[in-house]
Amino acid sequence: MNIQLSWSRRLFIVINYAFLIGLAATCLFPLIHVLAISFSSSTAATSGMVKLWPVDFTFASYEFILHKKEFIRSFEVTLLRTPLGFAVNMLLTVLCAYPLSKEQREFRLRTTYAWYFILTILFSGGLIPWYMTVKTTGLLNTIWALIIPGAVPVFNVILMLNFFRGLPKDIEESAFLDGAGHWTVLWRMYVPLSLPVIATVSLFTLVGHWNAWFDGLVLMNFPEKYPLSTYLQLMVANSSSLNFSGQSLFELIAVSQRTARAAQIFLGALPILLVYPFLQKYFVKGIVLGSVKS
Amino acid sequence: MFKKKMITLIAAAACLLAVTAGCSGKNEGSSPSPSAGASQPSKSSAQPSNSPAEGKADPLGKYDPPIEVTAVRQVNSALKFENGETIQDNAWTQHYANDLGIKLKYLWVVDNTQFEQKLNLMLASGELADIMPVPGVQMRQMNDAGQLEDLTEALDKYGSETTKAFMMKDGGTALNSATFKGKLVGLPLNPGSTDSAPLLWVRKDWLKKLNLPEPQTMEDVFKIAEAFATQDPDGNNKKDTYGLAVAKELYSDYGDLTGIFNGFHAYPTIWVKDASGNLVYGSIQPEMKQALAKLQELYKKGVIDREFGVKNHDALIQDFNAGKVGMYYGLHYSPLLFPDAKKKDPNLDLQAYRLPSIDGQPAKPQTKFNVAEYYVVRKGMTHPEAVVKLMNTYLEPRSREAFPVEKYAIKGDIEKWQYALVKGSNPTQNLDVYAKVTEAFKTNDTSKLDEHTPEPNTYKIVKSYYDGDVNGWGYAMIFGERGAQGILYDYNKNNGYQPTEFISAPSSIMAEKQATLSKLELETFTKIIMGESSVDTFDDFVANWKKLGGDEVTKEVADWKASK
Amino acid sequence: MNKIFGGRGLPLHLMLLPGVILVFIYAYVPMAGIVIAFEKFVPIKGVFGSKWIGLGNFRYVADMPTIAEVVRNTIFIASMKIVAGLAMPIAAALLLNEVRKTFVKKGIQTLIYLPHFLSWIILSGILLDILSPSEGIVNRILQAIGFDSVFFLGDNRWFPYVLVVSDVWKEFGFGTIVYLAAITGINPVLYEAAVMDGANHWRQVWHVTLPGIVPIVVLLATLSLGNVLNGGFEQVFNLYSPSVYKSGDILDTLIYRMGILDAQYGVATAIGLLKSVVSLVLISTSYYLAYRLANYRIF
Repeated sequence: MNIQLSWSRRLFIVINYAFLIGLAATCLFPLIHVLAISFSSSTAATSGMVKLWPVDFTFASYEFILHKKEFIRSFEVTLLRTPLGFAVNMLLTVLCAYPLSKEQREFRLRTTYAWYFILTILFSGGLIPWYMTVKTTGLLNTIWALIIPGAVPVFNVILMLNFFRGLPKDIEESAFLDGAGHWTVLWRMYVPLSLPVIATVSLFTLVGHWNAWFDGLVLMNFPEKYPLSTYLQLMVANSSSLNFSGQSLFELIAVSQRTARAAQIFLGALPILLVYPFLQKYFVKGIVLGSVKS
Repeated sequence: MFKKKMITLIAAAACLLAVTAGCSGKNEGSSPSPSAGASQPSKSSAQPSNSPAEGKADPLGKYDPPIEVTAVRQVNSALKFENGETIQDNAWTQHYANDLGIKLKYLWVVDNTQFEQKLNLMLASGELADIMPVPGVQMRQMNDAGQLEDLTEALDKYGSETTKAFMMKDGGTALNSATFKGKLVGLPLNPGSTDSAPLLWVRKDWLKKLNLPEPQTMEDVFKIAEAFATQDPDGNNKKDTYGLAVAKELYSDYGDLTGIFNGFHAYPTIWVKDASGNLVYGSIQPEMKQALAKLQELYKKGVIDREFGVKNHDALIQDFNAGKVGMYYGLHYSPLLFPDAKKKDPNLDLQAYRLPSIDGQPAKPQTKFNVAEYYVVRKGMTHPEAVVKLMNTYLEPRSREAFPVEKYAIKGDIEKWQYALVKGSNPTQNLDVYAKVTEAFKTNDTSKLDEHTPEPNTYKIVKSYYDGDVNGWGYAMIFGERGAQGILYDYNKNNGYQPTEFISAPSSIMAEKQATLSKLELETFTKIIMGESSVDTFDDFVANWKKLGGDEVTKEVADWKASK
Repeated sequence: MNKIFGGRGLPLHLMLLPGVILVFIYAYVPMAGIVIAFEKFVPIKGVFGSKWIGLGNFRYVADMPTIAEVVRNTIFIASMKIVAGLAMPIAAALLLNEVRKTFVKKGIQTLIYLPHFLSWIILSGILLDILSPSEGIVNRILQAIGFDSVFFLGDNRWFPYVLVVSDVWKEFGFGTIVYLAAITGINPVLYEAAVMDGANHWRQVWHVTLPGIVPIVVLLATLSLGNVLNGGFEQVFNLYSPSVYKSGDILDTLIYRMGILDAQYGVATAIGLLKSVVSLVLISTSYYLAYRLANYRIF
């Protein structure tokens, strides 16, 4: 195309790069800032010397956290719930998405089923009936309480069924002619062809389980059974109320907590940060085809 | 609200040291107080009694074979443990098991911010624990549903002398609130109500500087306020001081208006008797209107900070520290909110005063009903007296020694006393402490201070202030020679309070409408004071209040009174 | 064509069966609890033992002095989020499309999508820290360049915008990827034709790129209609405090507080039910519109 770029074009390119890189930086800096605080001494953190690089580098906060029984225990709970919940969610997502991706002429009740699932996003009986159902089914205070009640993630089902709908129909039809059943078509053709959406939904599911806190709070009877996010929610919520007070008497407590809180926030986000780069390359396809079939 | 409550709680805790502590001298070692005998069995002589039901029951008798008791509780997530202890297995649960033969099993434990939610879920699901600490509302609901065991006999028969003495120290008010149709269904944890009375606080150094008299009447108060606002009491040649500090919450532990209303014989937020003896809501009485008119006038004159409508309690604390506040109404512990102020300005001379009155009638500081928690027992539990025994053992001197309540997390201590499921409290503890400490200063004899109460510690801190340690200032303001507790003590002795006449947990309609009605009240009053609405808006407010549920609430209160 | 429960239809029903059963138990059974909206619900009396009061709770909601404010907050915050959440990704996608160096493009995409995966608990922890009026880095910068420190999370003038900005910041990467893909999908022939007509770069963007993504913008805008009553519970809940209820309290947080903290289950359920019904209408409308306008089926 243009060999000679006009000066205005060059200027634009420079500004554009600067702007976008700045934008990307705003997404990263807060994390780095918190990371820097978590590695700084509490005096440095309080006096506001910490920007993007630790001041008075120390592992003290991490040592403190990693010696905290509650943190470790809740980490373990999350490490158990995430893979378990992931397996159950993914299986059910695939199983529900496949029939719902069929056209109405192929599967007459698909729209009825679809609304059956959608309505559950909109209507709920509230906390108490939900709690009582979980209790009646005997899941209360067990790890399954964090997995079974939310076993069908409707949003992900929609994402996946839209992707399925975009798959070419001819191979599927020839497979049916060869006598293959739905089951075979699903696992032998749909799933291998759907890696992008599966990767996307996987990440959503993993992240969902990692970040879920409310169910742990309500359905677990003892703090030592709380998943990490529940624990963090209580920690962050409680200490923030102290932070707000801005009173010297209590700043004392808040301050020593600040670096520790930063460390916990960072540790809580770490696994996500680790998984993210590996799955993110599938997003474009997974999301675009899943959410917007054009 | 939560934030403020939190600070208030911490401040109150730091001050009272031990609302939850049993005290008032009655252990064998030091001199017993006359009110309660020194006759409780101590651990060394604890005899297991196999048949506690026979004859005079043993308040600390051990169950043999041991019984299992289920319970639920809240716990602050910041509570610390050591040596592998947990809330389910710790020094207290072992103490219960070894000494009383009570094996405590928690059905659930939850962070204190989530307790009511979890409690309501439990109530809805129908599976109750044997012993439950519950707020008053839930106690009433459970009682209405016939789910609670009668504890009248259990307390009577098994209550230790300390337990019973403490229950009666407030004249039996708290017990009465848990009694329905003659049946006692919950043991109140009563921190007492005298501490909820508002007082007037003035910077005496400013009074001297401007040659003003000490406040005796409301007129004095207005005069002082105006002078503080306009005559540059801090001498920096800037008009940056307020005459009267008011927090936007209006009713608060500091920057409060309740005290000034009381000066007009108006009693907002509590229930009082009208001329014909019916219970009426204080905030809608005509005396309020008069007080609001005066406040509007003060605001117009610039005596009240123009920005008070957006200034909350916390911001106002900063103002005090910055030396902008010379007069405010607030609770007895309010000096503890400003630990830095005295350090910054050694001339600061804060003084608590009795509430001045608008006329010849002495003003009565209002007190609220303060019981936040009751220990209730599930209907059908085989040993309802266990809850009484748990309270007995908490209050015996030996527990006070083993698990001193002076241990505070703020000092880096492990708060073992917090592990106890059932706690007890002396409703007049601060008054007792004040009396004993004052006595000790007068006689120079500390031997009468009971070491199982905050008395020695309080004495030590107050004395340290007199010896020149500025850190003791806050305590000296409360328990010292001209301290706030002294004024409260006088009021108490002379029946000078106006307690709320509705001595009960909020009724159901009240609980439901409270948020709405309080908001209406707060908004109307704020607007009137700031001159955005005329004083006559008060009459519309009264009508609205009645319409939006106030009438129903009033009827419910009348029903309650009739049932007593 | 097979019968519904025969032949090739049967395996499809069987595949749905586990999901249908689980959803029935954990979503439809508790839905019976909606009757609470018509009751004076007392936990100890249970869902079926509490007193039936018909529309009493709804009347109570109508009388609540705060309800108008909360609805206003909800719609205001949600609409701002919808508008900004549409505009920001479009702008980012257009700009990103101008970037020719692939690794820069990929790198930026990766970074802007990152916040989407951090929970509001984590993010609120971060925001509380960096926006704190006394020690937060943002206020330190403001003070350094001569401004007063701002209590972003405690000031009613700022709070709604903090919500909108932080939400857009968290989510705009998602939309950017969608639009970027749509832009990439535009037929290059169109650009060549524009160049032939002598269109400069701006004109190409204006006449080719933008029209190329209009359908998808319309579609996403239609779909976001269903969110007009969703102010974003997780976000608001983790960031707000009583001092900003006035500007930041939304329906979902109000329902939470009434239902859980104040134990007014009947009223909370009533508000929730109203919200659900309105949302259902909105979503059905958007489903219908998307189908008619863009011939697109959401599900």
